[in-house]
Amino acid sequence: MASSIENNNEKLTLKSSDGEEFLVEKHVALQSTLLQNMLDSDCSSADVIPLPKIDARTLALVLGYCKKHADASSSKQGELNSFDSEFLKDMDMGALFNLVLAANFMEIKGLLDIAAQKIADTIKDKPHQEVREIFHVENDYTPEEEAAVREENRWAFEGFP
Amino acid sequence: MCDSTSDIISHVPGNILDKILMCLSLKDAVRTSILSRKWRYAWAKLPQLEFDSTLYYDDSTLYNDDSTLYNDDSKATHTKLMMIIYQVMLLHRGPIMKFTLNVYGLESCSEIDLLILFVSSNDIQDFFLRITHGELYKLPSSLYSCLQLRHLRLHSCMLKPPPEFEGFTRLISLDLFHVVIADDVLSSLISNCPLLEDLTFLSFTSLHSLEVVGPNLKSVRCYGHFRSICFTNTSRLATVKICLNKRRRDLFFSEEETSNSVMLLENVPVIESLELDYCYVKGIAASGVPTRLPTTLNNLKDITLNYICFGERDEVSVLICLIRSSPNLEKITINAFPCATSAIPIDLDFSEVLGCSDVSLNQLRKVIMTNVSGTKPELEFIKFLLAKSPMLDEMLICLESESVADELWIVKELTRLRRASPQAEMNVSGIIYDDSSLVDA
Repeated sequence: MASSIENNNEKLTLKSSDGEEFLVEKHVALQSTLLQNMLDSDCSSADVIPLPKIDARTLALVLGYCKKHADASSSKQGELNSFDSEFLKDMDMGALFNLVLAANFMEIKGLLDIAAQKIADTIKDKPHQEVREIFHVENDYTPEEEAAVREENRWAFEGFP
Repeated sequence: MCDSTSDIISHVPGNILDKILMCLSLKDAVRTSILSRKWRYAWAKLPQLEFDSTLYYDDSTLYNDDSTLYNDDSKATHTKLMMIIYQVMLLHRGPIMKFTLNVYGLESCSEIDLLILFVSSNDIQDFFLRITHGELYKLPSSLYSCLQLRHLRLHSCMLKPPPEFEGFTRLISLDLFHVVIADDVLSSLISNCPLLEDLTFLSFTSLHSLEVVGPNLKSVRCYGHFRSICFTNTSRLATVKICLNKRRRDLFFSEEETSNSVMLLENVPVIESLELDYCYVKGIAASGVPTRLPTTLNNLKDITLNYICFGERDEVSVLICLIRSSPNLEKITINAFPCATSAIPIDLDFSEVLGCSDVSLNQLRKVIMTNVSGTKPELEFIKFLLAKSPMLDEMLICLESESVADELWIVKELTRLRRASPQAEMNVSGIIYDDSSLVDA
């Protein structure tokens, strides 16, 4: 991603929250609606675009995703699908949330969709106690309140502890 | 930055949380209410409500003999489902853009009219309804006031718009499965949805004729006993699939009745994928097949013809005309029908076509032929394809012959044929092999 052999006009520089700079080809950057809007509004590509909420590790992943999707032709949808599922495989929750937040900030719809789906798949069919543990959600209900919530949606808890 | 030990999920921006919740089934989404106070009504603000099979049972009970679903009597099931739906509707707040009612065991009833009335006042954009129990469900008039609809999918119900209905002006996709509708109503519904891109229609009741008018239509899939389907103003159509008759027996309609079918090929200049059955092909043939179509189908990449009989001259001539008019074909699939007439081989002269230099199959990569019984016209056609396609990667032939000896004879014949493509692989499957294993001839 950081190669600078080609004409600089066709590239722009992104800066992560921890100060690392990434040289990105324009067509790759266009995968992000945020960057697309910045380029459309005459933001000089010579400037360094700071992304204060995205660390270098996450940004590298995001740009890897963008590059793959920008370079693949539309006829290779199957290949992209398998890339997408490999891309998130074995990713820990912290990294996954960083990715979903970055995709949301940079407005990369495809990446946001697959990352949200991956998080949802983790919740799916699991008892709520387990979901609380995975996501470190603190239960602030009193036992009475919890019983009331359960009663309110009794049908949904059938078959769950 | 997120580390793996803090509660991140409860603090993501609202739009991300909604997105995650919308990836869950309604049941799983509702169950998140118990995680913490913050989550209690998070699901209730979602702009979609999908009542589907995940509502009532999970996968484990579906196949379980003890499943309450099959032990309950149908009345009790219906009542229980309606109770769940009411509970959810009462807790839900905010707009509903997408509404699905597709639950096994729900019966046609007037309460469903009320649900539709409720969502119709909510600027609904995406509506899916399937009621398979009880009397045929007649859609209430409130449905026709949902003018924001973009996607409409209906199963097993009756569609009878009031005379003053002027169409769904924003509708993009329309799927009708086993929907009872008059054919003129269907035709005018299609033409009154000017933005319509995708149309799917499946019905086994006989309908007279369908007129498809749609300047924005990209895909039409139509399975049903129509006497004719004619296409007008469909210059953007990329995918067409038509099956008029599921099984080849006696012709469902006389050739005269299907003659309007020819309109199709003249009104689809950018077609990419075309699938037709013998019945529609007969219709095209009945009005006279030119050697070549007036417009070349430059975008057509994929042709599938179903239940075609190589013993019938008219069907084969449509096939050849299509191939001749589509220079960029990449894939041809023919599901042949070993019809009675093939016992008396009609002498089809493929050699005439074979000799023609105006047929080019320079892009053809894959050919699939099933139910091949080894008649002369079939073998001539295969010979023709092999000789004309220098880029062919694979030809798959599934035999339908009576004996092992017949099969061996066909395989022997096939191996003799010259191939223009050096890398072409010929795979033959038949009764002497396992269904799963394909043997290189």
